[in-house]
Amino acid sequence: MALLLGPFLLLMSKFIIQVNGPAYGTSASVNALRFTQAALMGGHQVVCVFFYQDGVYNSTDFSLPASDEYDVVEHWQQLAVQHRVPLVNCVSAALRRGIVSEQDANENALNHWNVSQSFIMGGLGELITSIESADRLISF
Amino acid sequence: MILHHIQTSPNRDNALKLCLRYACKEDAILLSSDGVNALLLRQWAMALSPFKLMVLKDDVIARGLTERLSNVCLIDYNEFVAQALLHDKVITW
Repeated sequence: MALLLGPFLLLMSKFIIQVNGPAYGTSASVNALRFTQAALMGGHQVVCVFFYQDGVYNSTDFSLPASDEYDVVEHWQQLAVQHRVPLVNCVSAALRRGIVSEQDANENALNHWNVSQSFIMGGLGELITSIESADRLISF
Repeated sequence: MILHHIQTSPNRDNALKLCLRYACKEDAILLSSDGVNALLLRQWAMALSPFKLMVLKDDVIARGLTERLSNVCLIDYNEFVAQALLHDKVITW
C-alpha cells in the first residue's frame, strides 16, 4: 500500500503550514514562506497557512519595514492572493497579543484594528479539520 | 520513518536533546535556522552522527558556515518538500 501511495504523494499532495514564529526575531516565518512557495511551485496544494502563538505577528498591517528591506508580511499576502491560499490566524493567540480584526474591534468596542483583509480569524478547530484533509502538517 | 525538524540551537532550548531521545535509527534529522549551530559543537555533532542528517542550505550560507560544514548533506527548499513527503511525517521540535 505504501509503495503504491508513495509516488502518488510525491506528485500532488496537500500541505498545511503552521507558523509559530513572528515576522521579525526568528527566521521561522521566512523559512515557512520559502517552503510554501517551493511546495506550490512543485505542483502541490497548500490547504491553508495557520498562524499560531507568536506567528500571529505576521498578520498586522501596521508593520512598516524600511522600503529597501525584504517584507515577509507583504510576501505572505501576495502568496495568498496569487495561489488562493487561506491565511488563518488563531483568534485567541491574536487577541491576547493585540492583533485585532475589524470584527474583533467592533465586538470589543475598540477604535482600531490592525489585521489585514488577507487574514482570516479562525481557531484550532479549523486547524484540526484541515489536518483531516491534508497529507502533511509542517510547523515552523 | 520520521523527519525530525530542528530550528533552534541546542544552546537555546532542549529541542534537539528531546528529538535525539525519541528518534529511531531509520529516522532523518533536518537542521534549519539556528538549529544549524548544533554542528559547531562537538558533542552535538557526535550525537547526530548515527542519523541521516540534512541541513537547509540557505541557513548555512546565511551564517557563513559553507566551508565549515562542507561535508554535510545540504538541501534546498524543493528537496525539503520532497523529504517531507518521503517520510511518514515531519515533527518540528
